[in-house]
Amino acid sequence: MEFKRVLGRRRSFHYFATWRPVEREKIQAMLEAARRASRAVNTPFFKAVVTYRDRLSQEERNQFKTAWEPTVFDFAPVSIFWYHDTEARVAYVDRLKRPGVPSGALQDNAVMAPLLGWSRRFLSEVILPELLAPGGRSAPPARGGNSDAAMAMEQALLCAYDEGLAATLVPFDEDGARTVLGVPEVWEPLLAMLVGYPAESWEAGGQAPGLPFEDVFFAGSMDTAFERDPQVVARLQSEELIQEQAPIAWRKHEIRGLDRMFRLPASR
Amino acid sequence: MEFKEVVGWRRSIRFFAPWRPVEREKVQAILEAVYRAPKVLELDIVRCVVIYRDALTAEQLESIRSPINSAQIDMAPVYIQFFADLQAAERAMDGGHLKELIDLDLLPASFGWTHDYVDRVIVPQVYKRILTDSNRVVVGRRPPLLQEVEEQAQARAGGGRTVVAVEAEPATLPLSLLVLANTAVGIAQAHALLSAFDEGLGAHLCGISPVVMKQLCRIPDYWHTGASTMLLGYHAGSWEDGGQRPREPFEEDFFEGRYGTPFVQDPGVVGRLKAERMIQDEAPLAWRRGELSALADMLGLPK
Repeated sequence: MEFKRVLGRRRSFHYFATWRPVEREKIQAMLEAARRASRAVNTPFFKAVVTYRDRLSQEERNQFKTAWEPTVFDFAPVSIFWYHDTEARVAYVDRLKRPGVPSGALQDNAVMAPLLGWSRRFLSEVILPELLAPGGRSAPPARGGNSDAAMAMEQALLCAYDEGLAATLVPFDEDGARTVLGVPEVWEPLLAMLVGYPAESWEAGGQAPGLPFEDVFFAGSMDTAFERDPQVVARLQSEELIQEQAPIAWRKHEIRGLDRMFRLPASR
Repeated sequence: MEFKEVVGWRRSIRFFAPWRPVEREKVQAILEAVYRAPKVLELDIVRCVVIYRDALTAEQLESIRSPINSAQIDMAPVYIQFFADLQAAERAMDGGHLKELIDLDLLPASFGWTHDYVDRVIVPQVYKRILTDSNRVVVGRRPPLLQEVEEQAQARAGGGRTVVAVEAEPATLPLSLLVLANTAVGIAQAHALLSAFDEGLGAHLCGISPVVMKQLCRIPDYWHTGASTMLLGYHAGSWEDGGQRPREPFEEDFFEGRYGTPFVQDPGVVGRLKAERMIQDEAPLAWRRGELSALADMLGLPK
């Protein structure tokens, strides 16, 4: 699918086709997309555990749930739990056999261009001690999230839409998930990605409104808004990045129909 | 461009055509892609400032250079700096945006979304917990490398150079808020990076002193400055840029069912993704050194 259409199609879906399994190859495609994401000094900060709803008991699924949309865990056929590996840097440095930055392989293979200063000496005297292993290899793992891990997660999410699936990000209970999934203590939770075929329309009520564009984007400094050119908006509408915004006239009828189909409590 | 091809062509591009400006409409298209990124917990956290290299003074340009990025800074015509508005969760405490989404039928009542649920559960149990997380982490602790850069700048000031003032950042933040901020920024950066390549551009995330960026962009104290900067421009070299970077074995990153059980990579799927150009030739490429030599000549870089 065209890139901009993929971005435009993304929504926070709720109603997944509970009866339709997701092909394993599509999940692998999502994970392969995550692996291709940008990452500082080629370090894999992300980790993920793929779970299948039907292989988990209700009790196990309940352990994932928080106050935020708990029911969706029972709808989506696949839940992928994304983590930030807080020991990724040190582990990466220690695995010098890997063809990455710490081993010098990227410099030797002229990917990290020597003419921009990426020499063996620069690696050993600057990159390793200052960026990859600040504070030494015995420094405690640093929690606080990681934007590179989130980037990988998001590439997987977008790839789901390219594969004809819907995917939604929700928080999950850290302790409950650790019990069920057995992940290491040094993995810090990011979000759960719920994946499946949508039971609702691809519009899913329309694109959600947000802050005005000019309150989010600035030119030069925060003093000057980045003014939105309507011609660019029109191009992106034709490329389906920008789609019809909520409310969509027939959405209430769709929700009533979906609620009947899934025998959910009646809407307001 | 097809989505998978965009993912496949993305590299950390470090050689930009310094003489070729980036059309404003392409910058806007990238921002529009960021605007469409998922919002974690429906919070509007991410902010971006677009900086044009040629609009900076020599002193400002010097202030953002470091040993890691100096050449790229000079080559890239546009920088996009990402920030996280740390007051986003506080502003959401009235539940107003969630109630708007409920009224628009985007958060269905049959999944528990009601105004009452927002007031009674989501605000106190989700938003308030983020803000009052007693587990706090130190922020604004810059790597020594960047401190050195600032010390160098200050040393130069003694010789009559202008120095960008260094302001102290908040010492600590609630852990949950920092996780939220970094996650939101990473999601936005994924949209921005991929969109740049879809627009025919190259891009690269690099670290620039957050203190300097804060000063340059004149942002308020409550915007978190830890995110990397996206350098943007047209490729000076090939789109292959030396080939896709090697990765660790797939089975080290992904697990199936439970940690300890690797998600085994199916070579048939890899074959499909190669045909779709998401997986491309990996470094090293035989002709890369020749390309680097030619780029050095063209761009006046030392060999």
